[in-house]
Amino acid sequence: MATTLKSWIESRIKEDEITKYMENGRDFINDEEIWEKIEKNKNPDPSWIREIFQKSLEIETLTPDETAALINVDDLDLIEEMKEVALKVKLKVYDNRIVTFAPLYLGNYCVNNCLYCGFRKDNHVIKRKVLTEEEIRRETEVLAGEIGHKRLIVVYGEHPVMDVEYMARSLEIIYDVKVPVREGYGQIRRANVNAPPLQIDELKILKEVGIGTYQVFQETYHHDTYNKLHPQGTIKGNYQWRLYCMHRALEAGVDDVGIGALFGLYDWRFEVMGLLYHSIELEKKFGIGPHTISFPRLEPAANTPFVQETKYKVSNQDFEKLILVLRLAVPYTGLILTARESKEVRDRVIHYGVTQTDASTKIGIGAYSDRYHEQELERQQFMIGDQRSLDELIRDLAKMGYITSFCTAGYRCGRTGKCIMDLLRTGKEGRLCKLNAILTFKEWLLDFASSETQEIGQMLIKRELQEVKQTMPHVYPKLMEYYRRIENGERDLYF
Amino acid sequence: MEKETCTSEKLVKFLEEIKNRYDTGGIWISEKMGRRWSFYCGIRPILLFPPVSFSLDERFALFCEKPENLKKDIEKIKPKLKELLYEN
Repeated sequence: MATTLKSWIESRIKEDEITKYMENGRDFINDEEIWEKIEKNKNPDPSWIREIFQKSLEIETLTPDETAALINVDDLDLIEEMKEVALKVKLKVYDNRIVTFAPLYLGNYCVNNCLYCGFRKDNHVIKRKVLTEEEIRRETEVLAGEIGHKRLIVVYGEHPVMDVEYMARSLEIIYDVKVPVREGYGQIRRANVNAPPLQIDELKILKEVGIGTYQVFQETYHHDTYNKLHPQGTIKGNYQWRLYCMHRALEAGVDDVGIGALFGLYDWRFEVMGLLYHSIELEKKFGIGPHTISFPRLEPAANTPFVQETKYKVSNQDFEKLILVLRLAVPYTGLILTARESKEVRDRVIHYGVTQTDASTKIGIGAYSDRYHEQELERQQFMIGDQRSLDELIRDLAKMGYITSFCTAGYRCGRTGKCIMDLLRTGKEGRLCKLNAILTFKEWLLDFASSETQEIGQMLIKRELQEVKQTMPHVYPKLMEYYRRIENGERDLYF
Repeated sequence: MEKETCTSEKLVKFLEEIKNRYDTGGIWISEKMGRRWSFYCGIRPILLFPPVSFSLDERFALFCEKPENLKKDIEKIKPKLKELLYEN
C-alpha cells in the first residue's frame, strides 16, 4: 500500500495543467500589489465610497482599489450604509430567498498534513472512515427523506480511497435515492462537490455524472503563509495546483465553480482581496465568475493546537465587515454562510447579502444515519456552532421575511454557467428565484414541515403570491396553476 | 481560452431566427450531464415562462419559453439544428 500510495500522490499534479494558465510564469495573486492597494486606500473619501456603492448596485464587479477602499472603511455610519447597500444588492440579484443545503462528508482519509486541519494524516486521534455505497445510500435517505434536503455539498478528502471513480459512483448513488414522504417524495436534486483539486480529465468525469458546483477553497491566498501551513512534499503543498483548479474545471465544462478562503490563517483583508482577484481572473479568462464564495472561519479541531495559536483569528466585527465587502465587491455571486457560525452570528449576518446556508448539519462520517446527537471531535473536522434543524432554521428565516428556496430549476433546463451569470447580472434570476422559491417552499411545507413552521410559512407564501400578482402579473396565472398542482400532489414544477 | 461550450455564431443566429419567426421568447440549447442539463448556447430567458423542452438527441435538447407556434414545425427544424450543433 505504501508504494501504491506514494505513486498515487506522485501522479496527482500535472504541471502542464498549471503552467498553461499562468502569465509570464506568474500566478494572478501578487502579494505585494495586494498589500500596496490595502495601504494606498486607507482613509477613503466617503463620497468615493458612495460611488462604489452605486457601482455595486449596478451589479458590477469592483476593482481591487475599490475593494481595498471598502476594506478600509471605519466610519460607523458608512458601515451602516454598507449594510443597507449589501442587502439591496442581494435583493436585486436573488430577491429575498435563501437556499439551504447540508454537507455530507463521505470520508476523512487524507494524504495531506495541513497544520490547521483535524483530518491531517499525522493526526492519529482521528477515527478514519470512508463510507461504503450502502452507507452513502443510508445517509442520503435520511437527508432527502427525513430532513427534506434537496441540495448537498458532498465532501471528499484527498486520498486514493476517494478517487474520482469513487466520487462519480457516490454521486450516482446520491442522485438515485428517492424516498416516499408525506405527500410527495424526497430526492437530492443537486449535489455540489467539495473535493481536492482534480485533473481536467477527472473533472470531465464529474461533469458527466452531473455535479452541481465544484467547490475548492484556496484556504489562504498568501503565498508564504500557504507554504508554511501546507508542508512541501504533500499534494496540497503546491499552491498553484490548487489555485488553478477552477480554471481546469471551467475548461472541462463544469458549469459552476465555488471559491473560498479559510479565515483565520492569514489577515482577513488580504484574503478578501485574494477572493476578488480570483473572481476577476475567472471572469477575464472564461467570462464566468465564481458561482459562490465561501468564507468559513477557523474552528477548533481535535489535537490541532494551531487553531488556538493563530494570531489571525477574525473577530465578529471583522467577520461582519468581510461579508459586507465581499457582497459589494462581487455582487452577482452566491455567498455561503455555514453552521460553523453560532445562531447569534448567523441571525445577524444573514441580512448582509448571504444567499445560502446549511441546517441540520452533521459533519461526522456517517453521522446522519448513525443518529448520534453529540458532536464528537474525533469523527469530524471541526465543531459546529449552530445545530438548528432545517425545520427550525426555515421557521426562523420565515419570521425574518426570507423564503427558503429548494429550487434547482436551472439544472432542469440548463440555465447554468454563462446563462445564469447574465441572468444574475440583469436581475432576471431574482424574479425566477422568487417564482421557484414559492413553489419549492410549498412542496417542502407539505412534505416535511412541523405544524408551527407550516403556519408561519403559509403566511409568508401568501405575501409572496400577492407580490408576484402585483409585480409580475403576466406569470401569475401560471404560477397559481402550478401552485394548485403542487397542493394536489405533483412535484418538481418550475419556471 | 474558452469554457467548452458552443461558440458557433451560425447556430446562435439560427436560434435568433427561430425566436423571431415563432415568437418563442428565450430559446437555448442545453447539453445533458448525467441527470441535469447544462447551458450550451442560445438566447437566455426573456419572458420568465416555464421552459419547455424538445429533445434533439441523447446529448442535446432545445428549450424555449413559448413553444406554441414552434410545435408544428419542430420536426422540420431539428435536422438543421443538429447539423449546426455538430459542425462545431
